Order: sequence, then C-alpha cells, then structure tokens
Amino acid sequence: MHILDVPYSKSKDLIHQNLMGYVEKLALLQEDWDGYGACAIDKSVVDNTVFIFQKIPNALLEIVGEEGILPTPNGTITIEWHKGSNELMLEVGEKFSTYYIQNNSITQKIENQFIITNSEQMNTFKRELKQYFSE
Amino acid sequence: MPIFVPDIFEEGEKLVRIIFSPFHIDKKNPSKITHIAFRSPSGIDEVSVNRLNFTTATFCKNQGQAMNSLAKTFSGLATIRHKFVIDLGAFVRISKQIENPFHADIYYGIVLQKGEPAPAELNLILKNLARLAFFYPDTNPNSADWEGDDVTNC
Repeated sequence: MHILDVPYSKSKDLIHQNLMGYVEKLALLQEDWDGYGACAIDKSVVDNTVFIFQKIPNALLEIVGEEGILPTPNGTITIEWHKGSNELMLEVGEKFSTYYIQNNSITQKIENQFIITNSEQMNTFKRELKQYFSE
Repeated sequence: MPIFVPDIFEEGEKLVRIIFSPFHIDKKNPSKITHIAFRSPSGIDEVSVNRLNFTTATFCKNQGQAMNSLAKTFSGLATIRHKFVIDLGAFVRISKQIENPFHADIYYGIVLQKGEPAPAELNLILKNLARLAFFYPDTNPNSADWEGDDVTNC
C-alpha cells in the first residue's frame, strides 16, 4: 500500500482533521517520490496548505476531498475544487500561491501572486470560494 | 529495416505519454489521468512522449515497464493529438534518441524551481491536456505485449 493510500474517515466532523492529516503525510514523501526526480514537499508548503485549510469552512473542504489534493514534482501542492461547471485550482508554494477559476470552461480569474498571509487576498479567495462552490 | 521517422511533425500526428500510478491516475475516476501526468520536474521544461504514428503500444509499454520502481508502476498509455497540444499553448520538439527515435518532448516555455508554484495559466494548460488525452489502462501488467484497447483509435 502506498504511503498516501491509508484509508481515512469520511465523517463530516473529521473532514478538516483528515484532510490536514493527509496533507501532513505529503511531507513524508522523499526526494524522487515519483521516480522522475521529484522534489520532496518542503514543510513550509505543508504548513501553508494547512493554514489555508484552517481558513476554509468544512462545507468547502468537503468538495475537495483527498483526491483533489496532489503533490507536484517541484515540491508544491495543488488543490482542486469542482462543482457543477465551476472549477478552481490552487497551487500552494513555499513563498506564494497561484490559482485560476473557471466557469463553463471560461476563465474567470487568474491570480499568480496569492500571498496567504495577506488578509485582504485571503478574504478575496474565501469570498470567491463561497461564490462559486457554496449552494 | 529501420523505420523512417521524419524530423518534422506530420498532419494528424498523435503523441503518447507513459502513465504511472499512483500520481498520474485520478483517484476519483481511475479512467482519467491527472494534470501531474503532463508536468515537468523541477529545473526542467520537458515532458517525454513518443510519436505514436511511428511506434507501437508494445514499445511504449516495454519502456514503461522498464521504468517501474518502488515509487511508480506502469499503468497505461495516454494519447493526445499533436495539434491539440499546440492549440492549448504548449510546444512539442522532436528529440530523437539513439535507443528511441520516436522520442519527443512537450514543453511550456517555463522552468519551475523547487517550491515555486506554476503560473495559473500553465495549470490551465496542464489541466486541459489531461482532459483532452485519451487514457488506455494496461489490461495485463504481467504481459510484455500491449493487450489493452487500440491506442490509435483516439
């Protein structure tokens, strides 16, 4: 069984905890975890992802699920939200993050300098998540 | 008799990407691949593919099986038309190798460093590549021959 395939509970109360646990497991991936020379996931990237998850309500995290979280070969983490015709992909890096929003395959927003500790930017991100992915 | 492989892409050419589990396969829908399948490693701007019009699924499978490791397992082949790659804003260069004259690289014009997130525009390209690619799972991992669906049907 792969290190990331350990089953996790789908209990609604544990969504936050489980997803954060899953993200923390990504820090266990060692150099060359993909067999193509991938970088290990730096703890700062994991911490940044956990920080973002702490800011997001359960209902919006439930949409992501474990399958929406992927480590990338250069040591970042991508997180995807899909609901109906709406899609958001966030990529969390060491120093900054990026994301796009699409609706019906039409790009609604491109953000290439998302600083998660900037409260104004974080509030905008949360507002957009609610706008596109809440009922 | 050696196969002639032209140094320019011909109209209608298809490219094939070797797919490994677990990270290239969509966990929610295992008949799909993830954008990670088309992502370059850190410090490099190239993703290896083969030119399907001149090679065979068995050749690609043998390559994939030879690359199996503790980290990854050959799981199938993904095909995409050369034209679609270009239309999405990516590039393809022919990069013949002595042992593999069918080799080419998809590239994006950007080299990402460790811990640096991809620009959102690049993630859009990668996502659409994964969407447009046809994934053919390997139906018999114990065989050296390709026994899955005909990959030229895409």
